Amino acid sequence: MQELVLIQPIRAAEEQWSREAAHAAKRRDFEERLAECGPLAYRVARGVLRNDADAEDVAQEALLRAYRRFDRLRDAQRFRGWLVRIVFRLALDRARSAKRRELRETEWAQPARRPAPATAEELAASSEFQARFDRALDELPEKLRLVLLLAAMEGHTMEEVAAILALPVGTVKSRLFAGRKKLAEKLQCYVTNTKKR
Amino acid sequence: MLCDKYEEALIGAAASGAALDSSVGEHVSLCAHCQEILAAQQSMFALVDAGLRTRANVAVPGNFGHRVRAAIQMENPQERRRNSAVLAFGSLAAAAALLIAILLAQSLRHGGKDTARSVVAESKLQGSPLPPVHIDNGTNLGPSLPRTLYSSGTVWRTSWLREASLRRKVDPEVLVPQGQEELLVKYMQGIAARKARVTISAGLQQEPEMKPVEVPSIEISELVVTPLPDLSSN
Repeated sequence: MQELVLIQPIRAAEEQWSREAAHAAKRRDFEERLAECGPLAYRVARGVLRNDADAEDVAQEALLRAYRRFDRLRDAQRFRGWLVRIVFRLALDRARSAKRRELRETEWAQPARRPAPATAEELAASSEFQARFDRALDELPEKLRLVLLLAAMEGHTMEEVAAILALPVGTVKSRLFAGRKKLAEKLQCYVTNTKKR
Repeated sequence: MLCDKYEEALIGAAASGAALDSSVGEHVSLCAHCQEILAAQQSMFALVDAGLRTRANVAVPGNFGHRVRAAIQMENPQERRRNSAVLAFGSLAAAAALLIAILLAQSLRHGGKDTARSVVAESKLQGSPLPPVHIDNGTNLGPSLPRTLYSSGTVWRTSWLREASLRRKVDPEVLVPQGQEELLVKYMQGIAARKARVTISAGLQQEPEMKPVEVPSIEISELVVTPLPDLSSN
């Protein structure tokens, strides 16, 4: 049987050219977003993971995912919120798996006893307090944690946090209040116990 | 115990940083215990905010942007490979579908021909007054071509079908009411004769030795302009 081959060289070249042009435009557009939102992605990841290397990995992975799905984003104004959600979700997954690994490893190790800090400043700077603070933050519900992290970032107003998370400003305020209060309650027990010691 | 009812208000004021209500404010200004609670809560929230700020405002590594750009750069060839694989698969599927369609069409054409032949019942025409006829889409119609003529009631069929099937041509079959066979033959002969004339004239036009018509040169005489006679006097 005679083999038939359909060739349209001009059309194929045109398609290739238009594909490459679209690709270049997408990359240019994305690089603008990267310069604007890259630090935000890193800080959100770092706020959840508290480890530079892990945060860098997670933020990079989130930005790559965002790049792959960049065509699907209809409203460019919502890129920040979209990226923050991707980063936060990935960072939580990484933190959970790290916690499981840590639990396995610390079952065999005994924590070292250290003398209690004398003043509030010493208390805040002490690694024990930092660890307690991190644990208290991790125990908060995800929706409160993300609001606390975003609101604590420099230059973020309530309105901006609300725009990033696509929430009403009132909801952001109430979540911020509830989050701080819960953190304070958790840390209060630790501070009281430390002072008693 | 009297101060317990103010505790929530004091925590709320410390958390929000808002001013105390007048009644709570009055009590706090008089009660040392409540002043201590308010101060402790305020320092606690300050501690919380400081901790949050420390966590949220870390310095971004200098090479972070470059690292992400490099990852995107590496992503592009992978993506292109993925796209080209999808395109290749799509074109292969399209080619396969086209091939199947061609094969299906060919098999249907052959099958259809066989069915048409089987539907027509064949019986030899005994002592027919008609001359043998050959119907080939009206092109080769004449008394000298056909060899036999078959008839079954009102259905007529000529032997050209077998020959035509060998020649792989489209084989038309003609249904004629009984007794009108002769009329049909004459009608078809008339069409064939007309078509033959057209073919001959077309062939003449395509004769290679035919000379082009020579048109003699046209002479144009000099234009003479004469004034119109003055008719105003009439």
